[in-house]
Amino acid sequence: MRKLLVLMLIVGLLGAGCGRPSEEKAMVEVARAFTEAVASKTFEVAWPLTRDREAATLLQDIPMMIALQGERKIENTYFYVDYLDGNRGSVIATYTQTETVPDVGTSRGEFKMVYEMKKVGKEWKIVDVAQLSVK
Amino acid sequence: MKRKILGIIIILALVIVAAGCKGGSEEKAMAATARKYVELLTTKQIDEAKKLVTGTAAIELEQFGKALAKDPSEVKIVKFDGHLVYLNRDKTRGIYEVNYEKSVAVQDLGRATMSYVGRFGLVKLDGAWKIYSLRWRNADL
Repeated sequence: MRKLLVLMLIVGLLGAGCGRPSEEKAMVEVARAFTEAVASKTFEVAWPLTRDREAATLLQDIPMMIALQGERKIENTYFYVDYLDGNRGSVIATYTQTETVPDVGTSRGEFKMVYEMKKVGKEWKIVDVAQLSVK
Repeated sequence: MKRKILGIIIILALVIVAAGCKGGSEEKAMAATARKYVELLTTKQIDEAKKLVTGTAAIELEQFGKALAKDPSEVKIVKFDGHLVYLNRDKTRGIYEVNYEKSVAVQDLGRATMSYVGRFGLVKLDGAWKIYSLRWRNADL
């Protein structure tokens, strides 16, 4: 009986961790795809990856981004899951962004962003994006 | 064997309680930062408020801070109740949500009470909590 209880405890603890790596991978893939899509102005790719607040914000900002956003290049990207609990989580992304705006010039900066996400059905969606620090 | 299992359970319980306690003190610090920020904005101390923000919140305060400083309305905090939505694993970032009620007096127009739900994104930098994101929504919606 005791052995069975200990075994059940071990299985329970292991079970709690199972599935997490695949969820984290899925979250990172969505965050990465979104970041790259926004940078390359392929909003038809970015839009389906969002929901709720971020979907509304993106819809509102697309015309301005198309008009004002220069050529963006992102590199040195690093994405990781900062929080995950059931169907809610967040991914942190760090990257270097170089933006060239015609007749204005080129700017380069380091960015650290946080993507709040929720799982809708089987897919992770971005519900909010914020810059974590200003450099 | 029985004592060993009991010992492991006690140690696990102590670890869980300790983790919760740390979360409690962080929650209080996050709540204090959120409250202080709102107090500074209601009294239009924009330069002091800037010390509590970073990231998106800092960019937004830079944009609307000047307009806020010129706002003639007088604001009083009626209610400010909050709870921790989550804290990340290493307790350096989290979301704190507040139910906020303010009373606004506008010259010649009288006083009105407004209710909001505020979602504060906070990050711990150099030992201090800073607000990186702030989302308000009407509490009545």
